[in-house]
Amino acid sequence: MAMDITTKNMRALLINVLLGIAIVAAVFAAIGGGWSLAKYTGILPLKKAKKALVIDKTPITVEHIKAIGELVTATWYDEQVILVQKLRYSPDSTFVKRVKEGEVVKVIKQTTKKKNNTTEIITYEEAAKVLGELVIIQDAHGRIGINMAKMKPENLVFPKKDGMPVQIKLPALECLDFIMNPTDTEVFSESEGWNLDDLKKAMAPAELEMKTKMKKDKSLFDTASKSAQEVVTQLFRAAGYENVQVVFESDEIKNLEIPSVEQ
Amino acid sequence: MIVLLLAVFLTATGCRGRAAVEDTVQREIEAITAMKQLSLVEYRVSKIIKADDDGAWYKIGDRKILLSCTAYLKAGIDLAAFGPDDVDIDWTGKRVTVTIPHATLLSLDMPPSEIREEYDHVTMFRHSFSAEDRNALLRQGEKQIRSSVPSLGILEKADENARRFFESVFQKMGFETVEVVFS
Repeated sequence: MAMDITTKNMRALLINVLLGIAIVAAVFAAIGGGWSLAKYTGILPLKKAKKALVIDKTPITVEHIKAIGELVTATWYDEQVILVQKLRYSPDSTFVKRVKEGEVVKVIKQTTKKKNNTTEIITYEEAAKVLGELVIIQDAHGRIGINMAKMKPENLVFPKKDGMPVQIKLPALECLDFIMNPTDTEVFSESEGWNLDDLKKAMAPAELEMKTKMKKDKSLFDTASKSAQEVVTQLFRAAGYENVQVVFESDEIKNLEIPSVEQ
Repeated sequence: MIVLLLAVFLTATGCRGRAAVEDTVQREIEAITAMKQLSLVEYRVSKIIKADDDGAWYKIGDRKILLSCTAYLKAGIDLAAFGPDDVDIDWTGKRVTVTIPHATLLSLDMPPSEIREEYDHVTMFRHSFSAEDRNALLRQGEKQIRSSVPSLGILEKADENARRFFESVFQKMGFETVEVVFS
């Protein structure tokens, strides 16, 4: 009888322990599940925002002041994704075609060799390992217009008789500003080891591509020239000249030098 | 407990669905925009961007960085609304009154080629400054330059140059007296 009571007690104890473990496990599972659900669905702000490093307030030095006369008549906007990778054989080199991190790639290089008073260019392949990559989303703004300081006296011909038009020959349209500011740059993804020079070099291909697009975009010239003609015509009409003829020195946009891309 | 969790899940899924729809609505930006702005003054300014990251109490060591940058600010007037109503002519006296808006900041250009890292120091237990860290600091520098525009005198200088510009233009047209008024 005593043995029966002990066995019963042992059994009850075992059941209680197992039940206790099951309840605790269920509670943890519920908390874990609820936590994951909350994080996945975003209903609770569980991801703590990274504290941003704040710069000190330092003075701004005015180095130069220049009077200008630039009539901006169109702006151009574009956005590019830039992907660059770093190769092992030379820490400063980048490679624009994407390969997986850690992969070995063959890169074509060139060197020169002097032989019999002539310089020979030798092309060879070198193996290099991809160390890391940097992905940037880069915006750019181009401001197109006329530099009025380039107007010469002979570009403005007033009518000698009533009814004749005033003739204005405007300087060629040019890209007055090509802006890629830090607020236009978003570092989307990066592995370790990218310095400021790498970031600047990474932007060069994007600038090249965007300026090339601007040069080829005929509608940019049309929009800028039409707007310039409207402003100048309005100005002269406001001064009493009914008949105004406006032409341009050139039918292309100047000052869109394509930057050289260092590799 | 299961019913409660299921209720939370279904509600949250609904919220996420709405958020996902909002995320996919994209802002349409015109690639080419016509405008009529007259830039009249350019300021070249320089700034040192300084950051000292002592880190939280649980981080050992610190990191410091100094960057220098140059920015080109252009100010002028917006001629989009300028028209015949803004020009009042007295033909007998060969006098004209021109009404123009006050100058505003038209562009801020901080070219990447003129940004330099002057100094960088990171102690052993801290991560080096990443490209994202540097860009975040440069963004703050750009914002500080932009917010300092009212105190630089560039807008007053642009107003003065606007006055001279219109006086010169209308004098070339044959007017003897040119008065420039700001709206």
